[in-house]
Amino acid sequence: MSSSTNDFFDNFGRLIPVNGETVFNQVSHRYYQIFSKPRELSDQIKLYRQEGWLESIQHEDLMIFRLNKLLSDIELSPLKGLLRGARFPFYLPSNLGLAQDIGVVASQILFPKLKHSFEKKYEDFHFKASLQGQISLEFETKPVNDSGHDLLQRFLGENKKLIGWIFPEALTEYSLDSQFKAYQRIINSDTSFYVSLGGIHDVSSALLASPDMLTNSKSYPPVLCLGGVAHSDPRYFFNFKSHGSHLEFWGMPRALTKDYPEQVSEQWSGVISIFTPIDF
Amino acid sequence: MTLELKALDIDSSLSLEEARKRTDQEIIRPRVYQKIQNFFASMADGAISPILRLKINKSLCNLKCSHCCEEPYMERDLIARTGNADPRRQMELEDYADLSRQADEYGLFRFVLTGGEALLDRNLEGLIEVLDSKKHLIILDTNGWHFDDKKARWFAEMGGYKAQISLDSFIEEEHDQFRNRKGSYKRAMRSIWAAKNAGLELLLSTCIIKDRVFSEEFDQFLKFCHEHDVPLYVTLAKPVGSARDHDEWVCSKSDVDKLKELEDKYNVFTHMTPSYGMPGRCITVKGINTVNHDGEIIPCPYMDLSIGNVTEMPLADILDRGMQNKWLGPYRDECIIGERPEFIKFHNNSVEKHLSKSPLLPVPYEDGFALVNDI
Repeated sequence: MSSSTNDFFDNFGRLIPVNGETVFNQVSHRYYQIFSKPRELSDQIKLYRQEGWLESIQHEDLMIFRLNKLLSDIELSPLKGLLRGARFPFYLPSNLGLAQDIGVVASQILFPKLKHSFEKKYEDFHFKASLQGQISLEFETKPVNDSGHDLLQRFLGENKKLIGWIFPEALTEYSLDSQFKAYQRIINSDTSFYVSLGGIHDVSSALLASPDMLTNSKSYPPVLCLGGVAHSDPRYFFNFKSHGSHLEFWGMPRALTKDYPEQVSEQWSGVISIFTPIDF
Repeated sequence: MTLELKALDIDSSLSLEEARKRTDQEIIRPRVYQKIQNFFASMADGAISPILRLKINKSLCNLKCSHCCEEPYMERDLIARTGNADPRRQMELEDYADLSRQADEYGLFRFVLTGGEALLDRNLEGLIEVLDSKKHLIILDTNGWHFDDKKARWFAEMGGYKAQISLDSFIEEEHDQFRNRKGSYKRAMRSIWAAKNAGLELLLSTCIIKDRVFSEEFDQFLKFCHEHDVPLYVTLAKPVGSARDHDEWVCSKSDVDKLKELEDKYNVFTHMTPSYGMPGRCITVKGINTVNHDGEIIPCPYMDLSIGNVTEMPLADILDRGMQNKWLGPYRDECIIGERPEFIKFHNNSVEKHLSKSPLLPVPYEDGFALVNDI
């Protein structure tokens, strides 16, 4: 794909919708946005070591180097327009059992870690995970085929460590189905890295390194839809959202009404993840 | 129903109190319990189950509060402005009976009686009867002036479910000043014990203006409610009604965020607090709709724009139309009438334009929401 692909992203790193994709606004009003503030990559990565996910400072340094290299690769790729939007690093280690069932990993590994980390940093606020309706997370949550997240899961199953960046504003105001369609549009490019729709692993990990991602005292952040994973009941979807300064994970219905099963919300945003394996 | 993820020791499913109330309904009001179960079973298909808040008796009120968003709906205000009474057809008991039937068919199970001051309505007993307290939870909004032990017992015996008593400052002088009537505070406090003695569910409601949530007075208020096990429902001052020219009262996100922080420490909540297993979100159409005394349905307690008149079209069609409106239906976290400048501008411009042609609120659907693109 030629570099003109960059025209597909707006000035804020949002993929510009095309015909056949359902969005709330063709041009986003950006009422909901990630608060833009300077963040030091080293400070973000340091949190992985503090949480026991990284063994040494040397590993931190290597990870920072590789994450910056990944940014350079994106810059040289047809997806460089993503870099005009907010981005957050993530790391998925190979020794924590992250390749198990997604629901088990979420409820037994990732969410407890996120809760501990978030509430340690923000004593007055909570992290909660809730499922609306009679559904369960364990053994009912799978990667979506051809969303790129199936590939991420496969790498984890091969005992690979992964690093990457999430772009939480890449698909703002897209309906969930259209997030998938839009993703299919941008992966038709030859890149040296892997691209996926965001899921529980990558976004949880990014929140671990950047617990203030959705904390914004001035304006509302988007609800981060996890289009890379799906519940066995297709009427539900998963997301991370803030509630004031609290951080929450929800499994909630996607329908607007009985006649409109595919809701399109101004506040919902699909996440694009870009990742690559790393060796320590 | 929300399932908590046990591994996290989190607590966002039905609280013990919520579970108790639901169990009570299984015994006392089986039809209500059945509707609650049906709603939670069909929620994933897009079902909604909003409260219908009935503004009765031309919003007649015995008080005249500084921040009242209801004043422009009151007959006294209309007469003061125009010299004439409200010429519109008003909801009669048979209209309310039909509304109750439609609500029951739709699966709704909550009516709030409000005004003005609902207790001033001489037809209140007949109204509660036609609404049917076996099929719906009947909730009473009151400023407490007339809600003594005798009146609370009467309401409970009529099948009333809950009293919502408004108290706008924990400082007696301040509350009375807001209310523009001395003795209001003492009467409101008396009504708390009256409701408790009558075995009614109870909550206190209070309106906050900018920065009140950070005040010592509000802190004392929260502690009082905690000590006496009374839930505190907080409404945000909106730039509508008597407050239309008081932008300085409008809460900022930091006020709202502070409230959300306090939700974890006290039994305090807003219309956007996660409850009964649902996330906090804007409640337009899907949470609370007001039914004006002329039948116009307003998709939020704090707006002045209608989505249709229930005496002219079916309730289900009105709610469906509301849900398809871009502002009202889709998920959003913020309170659009309290916080979203773009919507507040659209709303107040629509009201202003309408009031230049007619003194009557709310703005009919055709002159307000119909002008916004549907989904």
